[in-house]
Amino acid sequence: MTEYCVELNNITKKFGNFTAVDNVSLKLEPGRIYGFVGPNGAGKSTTMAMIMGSLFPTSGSGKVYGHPLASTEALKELGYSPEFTSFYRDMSCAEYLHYMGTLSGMSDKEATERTKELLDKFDLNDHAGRKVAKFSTGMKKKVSLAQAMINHPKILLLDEPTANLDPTSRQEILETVREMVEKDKLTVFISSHVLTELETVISHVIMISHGKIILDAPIHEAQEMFKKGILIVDTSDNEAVYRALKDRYQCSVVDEGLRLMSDDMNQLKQDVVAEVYWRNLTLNLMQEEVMSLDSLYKHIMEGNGHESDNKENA
Amino acid sequence: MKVIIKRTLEETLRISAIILVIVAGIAGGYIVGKNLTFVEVPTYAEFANKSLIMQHLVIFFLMNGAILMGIVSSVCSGLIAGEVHEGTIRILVSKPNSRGAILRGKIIGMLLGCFILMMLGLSVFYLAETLFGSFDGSVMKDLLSYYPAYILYGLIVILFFSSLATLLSCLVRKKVIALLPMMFLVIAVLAIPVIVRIVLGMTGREEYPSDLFYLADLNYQFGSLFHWCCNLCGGINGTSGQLSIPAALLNIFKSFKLDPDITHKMNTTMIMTNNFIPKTVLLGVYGALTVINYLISFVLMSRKDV
Repeated sequence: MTEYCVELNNITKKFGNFTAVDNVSLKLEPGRIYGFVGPNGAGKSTTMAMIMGSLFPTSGSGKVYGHPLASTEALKELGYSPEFTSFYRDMSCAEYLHYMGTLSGMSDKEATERTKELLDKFDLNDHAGRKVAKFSTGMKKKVSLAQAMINHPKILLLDEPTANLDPTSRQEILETVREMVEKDKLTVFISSHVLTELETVISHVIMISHGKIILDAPIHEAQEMFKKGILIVDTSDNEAVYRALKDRYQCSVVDEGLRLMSDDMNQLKQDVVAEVYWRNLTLNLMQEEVMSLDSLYKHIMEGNGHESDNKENA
Repeated sequence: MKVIIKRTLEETLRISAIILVIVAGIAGGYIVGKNLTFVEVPTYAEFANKSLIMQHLVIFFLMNGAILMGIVSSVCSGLIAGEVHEGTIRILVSKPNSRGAILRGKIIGMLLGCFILMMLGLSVFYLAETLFGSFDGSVMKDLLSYYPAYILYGLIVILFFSSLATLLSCLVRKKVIALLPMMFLVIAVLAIPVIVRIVLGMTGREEYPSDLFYLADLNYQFGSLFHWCCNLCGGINGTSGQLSIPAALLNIFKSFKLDPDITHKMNTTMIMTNNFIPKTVLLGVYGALTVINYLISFVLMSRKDV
């Protein structure tokens, strides 16, 4: 029987009349990276905050390695980096990490050593004595991630760790997460809007909309599940092929050539090859389109009656 | 929990609070010391009494009054609400400590810090009053003998005000919202009833129109607690004239007109302690309120969404 590191059973969170999270059940397996995606206000941060114990569910329950949510035992297994981390204005980076270490139950010596280790890992040594509240957004994100790692947690909850960062910093953060997972065999529950980057890291995708989970599957299964017969074709005369096939297939002109859609992929391929042959054309490209996390997100959200809001975050 | 105590202690003993306490101590000492050097006093006993009454009043209204109440209110109202408003509480509660341990650590740190500030203020005050007053050894000894009473009263103030401010801090999400009622309470203890009594006196009323006024007279209630503490060190003594000032400012004494047939004089008055609300009842009520406030704070904290 699989032992789950996090289990949520029918948890609901209401703020007055507004239901932020509606009867959500989740099971996270150890050692995997979960992408938690959904539009703004879908309930991602609220769900994470409930796992962390900073918000209490209105109904339902949950466990972290068998311990109830928000219990000291559960918190020992978790590291949390919120979307917007606030820092104490009077503390330097090193003081802040040391304080977080001692708050996590470490001795003074242990906290000092761990602080040095993390400053090194996140390339913050040169800024150790500077007030962390005055750091740039990217550096604050690194400090936030470092404090989440301070007590060697088994599970990392990262709420929008790459939000408002430039592409280089985003890549740097995700690379660090990937390294940590590989080295320490962590379970990571990561929410993000930057789906193209998230796709390179996660092994499992959970989509939430209007407080409800609408997809919970390994990334490759999800891609298969929603894969449509889409064929990208490029010939020496795309216009001629377009005219010939437009009545039989959903067809559009794209940068790469033609984008053709059909439920019967084999028939589509045969028809394309036939057109190329009979018209004596050259076939430059014929490839099935792989469904990216981004297109998967759009596909599901649009199918679910929501407008994707990732344009602004892309 | 030690680390939270240490952090809260550091926050309480911030440089601005230390400077405020020292300045207040010097100012208070100056008021007592300098003022009395200009007073003509015929006897040692009268001089000592005048010095003591002046000292009692400055301690009640300034050192353990506006300054201590203000500092306690300010520190405690930010204990939780400040962290919620700043957003730092999310990380704080994400570390493996129970909510109760977090609040306990903060309360202990704050209590220690406020106690240290009170002791610092009283020490500076004593040094300043003896320096500015140039008192002789006996008067200095008399003045010093009441300090245990001031410390005890200061502890009562710290415990009650901190419990209420902590409760408000657990209830709201912004420090300023918790601080405003506390500031009103300080004014209600130190100023409003005094003004009401002066206005009533100007209209010729010696007594409150209704006994219910005593329930709202926080100045009298805290004055009585202060009086109870002073009684443990010898009480507040003096002639009718000397005691008329604490009678007017604290309402802890009442003057009674004596029967001319007995005194053989017209308009003779006698000052007596105003025991409208027994001091033990006040101690019990404020003690119970302190405990209840703290208990509710812990319950609120354990269920608070942050």
